[in-house]
Amino acid sequence: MGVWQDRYFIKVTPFLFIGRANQRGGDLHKVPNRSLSWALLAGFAVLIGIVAGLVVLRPSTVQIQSGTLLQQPRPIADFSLNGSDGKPYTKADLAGHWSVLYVGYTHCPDVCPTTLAQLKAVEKGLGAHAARIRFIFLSIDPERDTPEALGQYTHYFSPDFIAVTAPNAQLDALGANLGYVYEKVPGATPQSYLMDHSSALILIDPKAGLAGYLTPPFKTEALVSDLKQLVEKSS
Amino acid sequence: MRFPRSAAALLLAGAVSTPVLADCKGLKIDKAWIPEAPPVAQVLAGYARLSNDSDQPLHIDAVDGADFGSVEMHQMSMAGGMMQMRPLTGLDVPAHGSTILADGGKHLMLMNPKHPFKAGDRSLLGFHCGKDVSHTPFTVRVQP
Repeated sequence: MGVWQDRYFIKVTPFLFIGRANQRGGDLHKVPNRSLSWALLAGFAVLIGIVAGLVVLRPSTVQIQSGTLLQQPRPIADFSLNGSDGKPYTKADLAGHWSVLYVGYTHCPDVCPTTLAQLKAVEKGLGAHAARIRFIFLSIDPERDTPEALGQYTHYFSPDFIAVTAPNAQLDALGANLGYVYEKVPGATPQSYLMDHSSALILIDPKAGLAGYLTPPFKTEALVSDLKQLVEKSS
Repeated sequence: MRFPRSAAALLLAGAVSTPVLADCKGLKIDKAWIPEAPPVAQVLAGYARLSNDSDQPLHIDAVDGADFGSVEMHQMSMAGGMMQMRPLTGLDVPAHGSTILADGGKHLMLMNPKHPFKAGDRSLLGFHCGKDVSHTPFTVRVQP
């Protein structure tokens, strides 16, 4: 509404000004005063428009420190992953709460456990809000990460964390949808191959829509404050 | 007669190639720790500060430990939003300088632990500089 007002006055006021000037014909000495009044009025209206715009638009815009929110959540296509509990994990499981999805693998000694340990700290920092957020560890290394072992690994950090993986075809399809990528990189031995993977945390809203991304370097306090804000906004 | 010849050899070695010590003399390792990982973890990380108080740069060409199937040296980096891990062929420690093994950078990848580790456990790792080896205990700690 605010934006509409701004546009209306910017576009319409010059025509009003010209119309008045022509109508008056030879009475030119009055035109500057009239046009000045119109210009002032227009300026005032534009100002009101801008202020109204700020007031109207601000409450619906959530600014986060740790990443970027999409202007409109993007729909996620149906998918089926293998949960560590032996049950399929599908799009329906994303509904009704916010989700923070982290892409990694358990043979990653450095960044994955560090990030999971940090998410554990974030979960703790969220207090009561944590009940409305699910943390999901998605392994993109199904060759080595069986759902069961992945569950044991993930639940070491928090029993509430969800651990999922899937064959590569499903991982690729979901990746195209959620915007993550991964790649197998040969290691020193065939067993010690490495996985390059997207580093961002993927935010999914309670309607199972892709809401945005949280990007490293992650700061626990900022993550807690952003997630609290999102949960409060959607309540 | 013997002294000038060895001095000349040293000078020659210095002039022809980058002098890297073939032993671990001058190598000091501290802040050596292993973040506690899930008991099922097949890979642990090793972090430390490697210092060299000698006048020559040091090159570590291998690391091993009796508690692990193998130990690799890795470099973690971020490129275009991707976490990338690459094996390193060795670690260089400059003369009178240090090399940090830390989260998000160069680190040790301790593979196939022979038993689970928990906070407080210690594991001895050997840093090989040519034919020489320097052993350092790493302590397992819960990640802060």
